[in-house]
Amino acid sequence: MAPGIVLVVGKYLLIILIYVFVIIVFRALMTDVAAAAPQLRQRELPQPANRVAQPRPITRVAHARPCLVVVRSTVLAAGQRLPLGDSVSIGRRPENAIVLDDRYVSSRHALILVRDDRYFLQDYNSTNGTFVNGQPISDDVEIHGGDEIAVGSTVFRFIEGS
Amino acid sequence: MSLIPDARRVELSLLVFSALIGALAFVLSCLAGGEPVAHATRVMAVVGALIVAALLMDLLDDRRDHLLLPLVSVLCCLGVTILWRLGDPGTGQHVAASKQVIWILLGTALMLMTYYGLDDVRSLGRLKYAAGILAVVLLGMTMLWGIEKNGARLWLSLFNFVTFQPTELAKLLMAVFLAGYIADRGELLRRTSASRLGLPTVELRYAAPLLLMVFFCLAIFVLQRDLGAAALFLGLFIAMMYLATGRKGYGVVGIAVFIVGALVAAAVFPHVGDRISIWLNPWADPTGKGYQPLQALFALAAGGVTGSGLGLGMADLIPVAHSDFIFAAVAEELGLLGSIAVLLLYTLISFRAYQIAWSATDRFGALLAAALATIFALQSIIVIGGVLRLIPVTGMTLPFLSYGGTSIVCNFIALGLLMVVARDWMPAGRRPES
Repeated sequence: MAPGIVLVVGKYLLIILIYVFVIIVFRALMTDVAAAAPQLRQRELPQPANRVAQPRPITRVAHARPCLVVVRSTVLAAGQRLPLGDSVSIGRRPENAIVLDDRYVSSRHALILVRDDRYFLQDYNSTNGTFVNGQPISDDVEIHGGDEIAVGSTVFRFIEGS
Repeated sequence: MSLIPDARRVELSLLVFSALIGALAFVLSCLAGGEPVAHATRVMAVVGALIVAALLMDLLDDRRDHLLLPLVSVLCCLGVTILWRLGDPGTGQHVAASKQVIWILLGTALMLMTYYGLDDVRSLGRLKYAAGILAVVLLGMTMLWGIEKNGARLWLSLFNFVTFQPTELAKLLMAVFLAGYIADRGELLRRTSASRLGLPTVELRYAAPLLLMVFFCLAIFVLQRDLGAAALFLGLFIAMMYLATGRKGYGVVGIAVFIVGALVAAAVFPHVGDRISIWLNPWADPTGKGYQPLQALFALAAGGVTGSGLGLGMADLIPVAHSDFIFAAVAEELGLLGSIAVLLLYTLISFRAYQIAWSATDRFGALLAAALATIFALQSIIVIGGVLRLIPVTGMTLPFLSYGGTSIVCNFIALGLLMVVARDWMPAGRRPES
């Protein structure tokens, strides 16, 4: 066995192997990106209310009523819109206005209240908590357009009416 | 995190693949040096430890990131191979490579401890001020009692027993501080008021703690004459401010601040000025100060497109080839193709870390992952740029590749943190209801 040949073949083989590895990892990575892309688009859609200074285009009228948009969820379809009435309860049991059949959601989990066109979120001492923009809430908090509300595995975005 | 159903299987296959790459690289350098192939047990120990770590982490949770470990595995194997091939400066022994294996094993253990110990990444966010203050204290201690090597004070000795590089630890602490502070106060930082110049500026009372902490770090780095770490911390700060506010202006202002700061530092400190003049014209002193960058350039040129082959180049001529200049050794022996592959590995690590950041629903977790991704990206750019003479040389290690206990251990802890964020992407804890 001529070591010279072995070393040259080995050198090329090593470079090829590293590139094959890089390509496999890259493809696995892009699979995750592709799977996450619809969620990302959903995230970018609603802008925080204070940024929208210009008059709203006519197409926006369809969304003029305040609602929750499902950003991502294991139990609801992403992008689904849930209109908000006077008060909306969220929980696992069927008597809630928004039912999340999710192991991490308490039977009565949280409540959204409307007072004078202002919206407040309240947590019913749920086991796993309710989060606004990643922060757990303890008292009632006022929610604003663009806020992300997380209950169990579901993340909603709150959209204010116009 | 894992959206591929058989993510576990993919990870294990990729780890085995990385073992194949590592073994081939090591055996080639053994053959080239006329040494017994049995030395390759070193890379096998590295990959073996990572596979065991992967299996142990699977016991806890199945939603784990599955691509970071194999990427890191390839880099660690290449690093150990090159360290072994370079031998220890002066003696020609292979102690550095064996010690590096031990550091990697220790790092893997600490990564596991981070993964198991940190049930909820948010609990780390509550320690943000402690982390920030500890970072400043560590750097301050280095400035006062540090050990000077190569004109920069980067080392701290513990009881005259272990020396370590506080910068590496400080960058993790700073990532925790910045992520924690911005997760809490991001909304306030976004609020602006018109300044005297009529430009929108951040309200100072909200940004003050942030600016103070960053200013302390930068001041210490300048006094330590550690330009690379200053660039890394400033870059991290700018990236985090951009993430918090969405304003691109921070990038422009930050780069301007850095250039002005670097020019002032170059004028005031001879060490920094030296590095810049060497960068502009290494031929002014080819056997003295310009020796290292020139040897690195010769190594890059000698490597050509496909490299000399592992163990067949003359990379051992480059001073500090085992740490700051390890990329020159890679470029000589694996060539342009090999060095681009290494760059791609770093790109994929940062890309994956940013992906973990944007998938995280918890704001602190997302910002922490983004900070760590930025650190990996910036540090490799700064170090590799220095070797390629794109920017002045700065003394820093290349993550997972360079020799160095602190660097390896801290980067593995960062990896553990990334995996915790990837695991905690669900906002609610892991306590099922009834």
